[in-house]
This record gives sequence, structure tokens and C-alpha cells, in this order.
Amino acid sequence: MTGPHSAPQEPKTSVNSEEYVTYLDRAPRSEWVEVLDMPRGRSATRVLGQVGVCVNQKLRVLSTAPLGGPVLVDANGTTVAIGRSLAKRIKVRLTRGA
Amino acid sequence: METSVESRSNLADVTHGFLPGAGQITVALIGQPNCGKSTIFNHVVGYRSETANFPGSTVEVSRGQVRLNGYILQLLDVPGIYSLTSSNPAEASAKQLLLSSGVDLIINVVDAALLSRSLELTLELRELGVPMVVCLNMTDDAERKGIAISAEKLSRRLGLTVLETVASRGRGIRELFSPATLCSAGPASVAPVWSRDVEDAVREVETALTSDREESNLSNRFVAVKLLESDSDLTGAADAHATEVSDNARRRLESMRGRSADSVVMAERHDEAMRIFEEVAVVGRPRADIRFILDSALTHPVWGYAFLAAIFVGFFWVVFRLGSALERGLQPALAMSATQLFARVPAGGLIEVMLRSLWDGFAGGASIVIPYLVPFLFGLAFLEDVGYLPRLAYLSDGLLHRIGLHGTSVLPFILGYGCSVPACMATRILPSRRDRFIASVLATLVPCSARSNVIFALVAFYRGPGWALGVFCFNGLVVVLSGWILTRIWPEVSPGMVLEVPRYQIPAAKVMTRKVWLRLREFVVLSWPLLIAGSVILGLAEHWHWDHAINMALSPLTRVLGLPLAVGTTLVFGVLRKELSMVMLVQALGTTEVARVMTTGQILAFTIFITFYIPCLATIAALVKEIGRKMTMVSIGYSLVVATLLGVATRLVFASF
Repeated sequence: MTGPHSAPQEPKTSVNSEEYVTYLDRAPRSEWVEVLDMPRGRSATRVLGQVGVCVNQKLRVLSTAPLGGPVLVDANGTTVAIGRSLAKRIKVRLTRGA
Repeated sequence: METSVESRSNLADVTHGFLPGAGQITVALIGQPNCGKSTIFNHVVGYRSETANFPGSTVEVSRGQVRLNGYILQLLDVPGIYSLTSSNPAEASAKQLLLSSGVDLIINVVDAALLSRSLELTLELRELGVPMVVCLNMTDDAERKGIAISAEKLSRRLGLTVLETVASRGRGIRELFSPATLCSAGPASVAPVWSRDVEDAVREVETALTSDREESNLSNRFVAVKLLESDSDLTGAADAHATEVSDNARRRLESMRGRSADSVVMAERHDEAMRIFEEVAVVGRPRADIRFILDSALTHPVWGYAFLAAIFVGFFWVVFRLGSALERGLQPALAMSATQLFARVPAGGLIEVMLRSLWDGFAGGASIVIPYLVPFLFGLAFLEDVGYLPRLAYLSDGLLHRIGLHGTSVLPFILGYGCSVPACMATRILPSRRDRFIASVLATLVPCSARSNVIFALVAFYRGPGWALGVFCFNGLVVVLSGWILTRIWPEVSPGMVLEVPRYQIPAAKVMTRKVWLRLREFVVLSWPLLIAGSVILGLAEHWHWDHAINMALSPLTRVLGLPLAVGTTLVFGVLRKELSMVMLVQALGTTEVARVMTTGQILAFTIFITFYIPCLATIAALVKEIGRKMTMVSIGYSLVVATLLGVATRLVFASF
């Protein structure tokens, strides 16, 4: 799968990889994350799910807009802008390649 | 037990008895947003549906009729939907169309480059039991991303005919609409297989439904799944017994899975779509693509804004340079023609007044409106088709949220630079009613191409492009401030933005030209005749001195704005079409050298007032449709107050220098 900014590869995993849990708005640029938990509320979950952002999905953080703007992610080939208020409620596990 | 799937006739049966002209089949193009439905539609029926490279560019169903190979085909271009659970009015209208029995065949347009996600809708549509063909579109993009899809395997896996197309280049469209393809459509023969607990729940509800739904045109499986998902549109489709069974099944499923039943079903579809994708596609190394680098710069947290400013300054600069060059070139030629034309007409009579008014209306349109309108529409079409607008929404969401609006609101605002009517209609992509109302009001304050024309032809032409850019920036500031005021009058927490950002596309010159012509045609066939008629009415009013009465009636307004008395009539014409106010101004003042009879302050006060005051009649009609009569009156009142206050402020600022 590919994102718009580079030719992305699947996230590397190894026994040495450092993993930690955070929220999507705090995930660093260009990193791969895996969605652990979605915002409460059917509407938000449904709309995010429709564009491919759901639990267990791997996302690549492409950019974060300033002034509390959205987070731009690549979800399985789809580039999605997720408002900061929603991104703050998406729990992710960040996987840093060794 | 006859299920409603079987009660649906196969399309082959429908088309068999068809004699040319004897009837028609209705074919709906359905797919996720921005997958190329409107492009296919335009290829088949001619350019009627506006296309653009952003999700939500189609907000209502477009219809076209063609005679193909001996049968009449009624083609429907349906707004894009991610699923059959609607989250905004545009999606709701698409869903309503599908749930009605008016569609004989679905062509499910699938973006091949986003196959796994697109298949989730395909799986949902398949449950409807309507004859269906899958159109695997944008296969060139998929190849560029390194995705090789076997259409044959996909067809076998889905139990549906699958055809590959590249709609933007017209590839595969003929085959898609060939009788062989259309007649091969049938309800899917392969049933979806979900996890056992979900399948058990679906079958339980399905069984409860069977007894009383033989008349319905929807498949029992589809209704059962929707009842489990608590879809409010389908709750009326079941009797008390089936509702009770579905409630129990839903509760049981939720307690077993620990989350809502609709998210369980969504996850099942997602998993199945992923499984199918893995079976039918091979993902290789993507080709090097400059678009990745370009996007990295254009969405950069710092450089993104610098590029945004450069793009808009460049856009208006090019429009002005081209427009003024055309205007300067055309005016002497038209003046010379007028001299020759009126040389033989007796001076001072009614005939001369009428002929001169006719000519002024025609020449005004040709030399003032067209020169700026054409480059403006081409520029806007380029920005729309290249896919920059969703990036603009991404960059401006932070600012819009600060004034209490949804970031996606920026899309109607940008469309507003073209025409306020589609801008008001585009607010349907917003999920909240309040956001739709505020975005509609704000979109009418954005200078449409007609009002931009006034800015270019008056401020830029007589005072320079820097002044015109200042007017556009000032307008942006007023729109932001108005948003801030309106969101405080109607406070509501705006839902977070979720916007798909499409891939960049190289705009096709042919598509852009057709789009520009579609928009320009509105001016040529609607506004220009109105402009000529308005010019004649004004000429006659001046001849018989009726204009004096109108100008006197409007004198309190023109006086407070510090404008010449003669300008009053032009403000009335501006309500019909905004271009009229500019051309009428030239006629009312009796000279094309506006700068000789109006000061800079007066030119700016007039332009600012025209930019903000009452929307044109077509926009008022669109507003009534979108937000209702009462709120339209509020919108008109608001724009009038804002225009007057800003016009007076402009006058006072310039008077103090």
C-alpha cells in the first residue's frame, strides 16, 4: 500500500522495536501507528471506519496542521484528514523500527 | 421460500423484450466519493454533471438519457457514498434512491487504487439483490501504486461481472455499456460469509422477516443486516415480531463482542473486503511519483501555507493580467464598431436609444464580463480538477475550527468563488444542520465569478491589481468575522473533520474546457440576454426620465454610501445578476471612464457594497431550497446590513484622507 508522500513500506517490526501507546494527535510525523481504540460514539466510529480508520488498522502519520488543525494519515492507501478533536481520542500504538 | 432477491428480475429479462423506443432501463452509477462516477456519466450522456477532484463534488442525482444499441438507457449519476448508512443529506438522497424500486441495474464504480476500502460498499450493495456490474475504474492509478488486480478473480469471488476502465481517458466505457455487459448483470450468486456469531444473528432476523416481506423489493438479508445495525431508515420495514427478534439478536451480539452491533458488522465487511483484496490483488513496488514529493510540500505545516498564499496570489494575478489584456484589446474594436454602426442612425430618437442600449448591453458583456470570466473559470476548474481544494480544507481546518466551523466548510466557500448556487448546494456534505446554514450564509458573502468580475473590471482596472487583491483579502476577513459572529449566535460543538484527500490528477484539457463552457453557457444564455434587456430598460428609463424616480427612492442608500445618485438603478439590477451592476454602472454614468466621475473611495464603496449585498435571484432560490424561507430572509438581511455598514465604513475611511 502506498501513501501520498513517499513510497511507504510496511512498518518494520523486530524484537528490538520500541513500542509505546499514545493518541494520534501526538504521534510523530512519518511514523507508523496501529489503532488500538476509537472515539466513543457511533457517528464518529462509523465515519472514520468508512474511510478505513478502524481498530487494528495500521496508519502512517503524514503531517499535522498547525493552529490545532487536522492530522493527515495514510490508511491503507487512502489519505485522510482527521480533525484534531477526533485525533485526540484515537488511541494508537506507535511502532518504531529498530 | 421465495426471497425478495429472487423476486428481482434479472436485467437480461428486462432487456430481452425491449424494442427500440418501447421503454427504458434505469441504470445507477453508485460508488464511493471521487471514484469517477460523474466522469463516466459525462462520457455517456455528454458533459452535464460537474466533475471535480474532491469527495462530495456531486451532491444531487443527475439524470441523462441515451439510446444505446436499441434500448433506452436512463443513466443516474448518484452522489458518492461510503456505505448505505448515510451521514449527510447528499448520502441520504443516494440511499433513498437505492431503497426505492426505481433502479433496474447498479453499476458499482470502484476506485481500483483503493480497492480494499471500495469493496466494503460493493459487499453492502451486493446484499441489496439488485442486478449489478462492477466497474473497476482508475486501473492506471492502481498500476502506478504497484497494485496488480485480476478482474477475472474478482469477478469469480464476487459472483458479479467486473470490467476495467480508465474513465478519465474514456478507456473501457464502450465495453461497460455494451449489451453483453449489461445483460450479464444479475443479483450476486455468492453469499457473504461472516463470523459464525454474526451470521447466526443475521439468519435469525432474516427468518423472522420472511413471513411478511414478500411484497418488498429489498432482500431479506439486506434488511436483516440493517436492522442489526439499528439503521433508522429500515426500522419501519419490519413488523413487531421481527423488530423484537432483531433487538434481541443485536443485544446478544453486542454483549458477546463488547461493542456496538453496527461496528461489528462494519468490521466484518472490512475483514471480508481485505480477504478479497488479498486474493485478487498483488501489491508490488510503487512507481516513483512526483506527486508524493509535491504533496509533502503542499501539506507541510509551514511551507503548505506559503504555497497556499502563492497559489491564490498567482491565480488572481493571472486572471487580472489576462482579463485586462483582453479588455484593452476588445474595447477599441467595439468602440470602432459602435461608431460605424450608429453613423447612419438618426440621433436623439427612440430608435437610437434602443439600439444604443442593445449595443451597450452586448458590448458590456463582451468587453467587461467575458475577458475576466473565462480565465477565472479556467483557473478554478484547474484547482478543482488537480485536487488542491481538499488540501486547502486540511490547511484551513484549524482556523475554521477556531471560529466554530467544520473544516470541510471551506469547500463550499471555494466553490462560491465560481458561483454561489453550487456553493449553497455543496453545503450538503456537512454533517450538521447548523453548519450547513452558517456555511450557506458565508458562501453567499464570498465573491462569485460575477462579483469578482466587478472587482477586476472596476477596482483592478481603474486602481490596480494590488487594490483588487486587497478587496479579496478584506472579503476573506469579513467572511471569517461573520463566521465567528454567526457561530456565537448559534453555538454548537462542530463535529471533528474526517475528509478523504484524493490523489492529485493531471486535469484533462477537454474536461476542463467542457466544464468552463458549462459554467460560461449560464452567462451566455441567461445573464447576457438579461444584461441586454436590462440595458434597454435602463436606456428607456433614462429616455423617459423614469430612472430619476428609482434613483430618488434609493437616494437614502446611495447618499449614505457617498455614491452618485445615478448609481441607484444599478443596485436594483444587481439583485437580478451581479454582472448587471457593473455594466449598468457604465451606462448609468454615461462613460466607460468610471475613474473620471468617481473617486477611489466611491469606487471601493460601490464594489464593497456590491460584493456583500443581497445575493442574486438564483442564489436566493438555492438558499430557500437548502435552508428554508425563514433562514434565507435572515441571510438576506444579514448580507444587506453587512454590505451597508462596510460600504459606509469604506466611505468614511477614504473621506478622512
